[in-house]
Amino acid sequence: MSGPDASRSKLVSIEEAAASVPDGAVLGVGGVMDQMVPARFLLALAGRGARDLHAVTVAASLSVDLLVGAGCATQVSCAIVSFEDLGTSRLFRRRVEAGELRFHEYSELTLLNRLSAAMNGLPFLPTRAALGTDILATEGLMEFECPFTGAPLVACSALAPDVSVIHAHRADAAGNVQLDGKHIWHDLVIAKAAGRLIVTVEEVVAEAEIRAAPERTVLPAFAVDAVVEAPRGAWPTTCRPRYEADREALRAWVDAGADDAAVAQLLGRWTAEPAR
Amino acid sequence: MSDPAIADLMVCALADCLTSDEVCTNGAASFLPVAAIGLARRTGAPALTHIGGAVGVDPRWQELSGSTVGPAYWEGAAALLNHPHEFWPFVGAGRITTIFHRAAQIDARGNLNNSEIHGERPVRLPGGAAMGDTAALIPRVLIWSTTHDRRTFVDRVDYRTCPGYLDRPGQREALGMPGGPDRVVTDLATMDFTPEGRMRLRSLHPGVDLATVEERTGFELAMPPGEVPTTREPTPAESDLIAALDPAGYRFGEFRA
Repeated sequence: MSGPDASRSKLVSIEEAAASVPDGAVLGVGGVMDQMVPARFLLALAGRGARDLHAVTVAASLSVDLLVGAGCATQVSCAIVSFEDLGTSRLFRRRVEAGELRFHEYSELTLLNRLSAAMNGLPFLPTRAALGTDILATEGLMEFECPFTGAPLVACSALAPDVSVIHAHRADAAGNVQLDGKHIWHDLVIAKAAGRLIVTVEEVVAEAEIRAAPERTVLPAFAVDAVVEAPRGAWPTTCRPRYEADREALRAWVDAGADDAAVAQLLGRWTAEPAR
Repeated sequence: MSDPAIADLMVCALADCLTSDEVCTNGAASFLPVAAIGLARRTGAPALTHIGGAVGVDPRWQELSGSTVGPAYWEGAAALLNHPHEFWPFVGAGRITTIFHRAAQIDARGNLNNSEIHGERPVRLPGGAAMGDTAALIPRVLIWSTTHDRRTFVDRVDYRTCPGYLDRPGQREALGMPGGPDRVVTDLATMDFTPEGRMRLRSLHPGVDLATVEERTGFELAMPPGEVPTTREPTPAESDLIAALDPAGYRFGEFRA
């Protein structure tokens, strides 16, 4: 893959970016639990009626649930779908139990290794994690013998999403992306493993602002294909330090999960309204 | 005992497992463990290192809050660990000693299932997050359960999300895994494991008799030598500390049906 042209603007509207994700794509999604989910973008995918996506994310609450609830995803690869103290996802559970959603269950590290292998251009990465578990029956994992020590290891084959989307604090039009505060979770692995990368940001800034603090740049322009300005783009999940999770909105989502009509109604409202 | 009293007793029993020499961490929806960590740091294990939500090293949070892997559990931390590049390498290198797990099914050898329940009407569970990784790489696994019954405590898990002592003695070691499940704290009793990796009763909570525990366990528990001790109740000072750590009562949410 040749890098995107660094000189041209990669700014696109959220609708254009959503339209660029083809039906049937393997879609890497950033965020963990109720933190930094590119929710605005996922709602735009729902708005365009995306279908048959395979969502890949490591630890999910709303990210997987939105795509499932909107009928966009028919496959999910991740390690957990839970809203913690707000409850488990009845929506996810119902869809899997009804056979409408194929769930590829990984442990965090086996999935992270699959993505990291893709990120590094390797066919697989080894781990000692998940040995002795039924997780090893999930596709892309295989027990093998260490060529040096003979010890049992798990090979995690490369998994490259066709497209990934993450949310960040700021970028310039060329696609230099910055995060405020330390990057904690898996977003940059999900981002760098993908064939194409869309980044939604709280604000688009001038190139000079990026160059004034290059230590904050987590993705250089050559690694980014599209930038979408999406203020409050992670709502109702957190985008620290700008805003906390909207727990009332998340609670409303979890409660709606028992009933498809309630899910559709909430999705309709969230898609139509600007982010709060 | 009432649910609130059991919650505090369980927090206390988990805190009693912890020492100042350990580096422990917690996963999602782990309210009793984080309360126990807070209590242990204020009582018997002041130098216990907590990696809050598997991110914030030695944090200074004062109260429980909603997501136990969220930023509230990193407050005042001395360091924040990036997961792919810092947290997991420390785990892989054996630098993190202790992890807490709960599950929908727990079997006689400490294997856990948080994935799927088989049967006529199969049930999809939330998934194990990193349980399959941490239980393979972190030497000391502490298990808790607020539902000590035959649905949870089964002879053999339907799906092994998380490795305990697997199928037979020596199997963990053959796979290169350190340690294993060390203690199980439930709403009825505390358990440990025999050297062969079989769950063994360690103490009964006040007012709980052996017959009740046996009836509500789906396999034969190994028995300790002599009379079974009674789990100690929190002291008034400990109860006050627990109440101050969790004024909103997140720990009670774990007792919902």
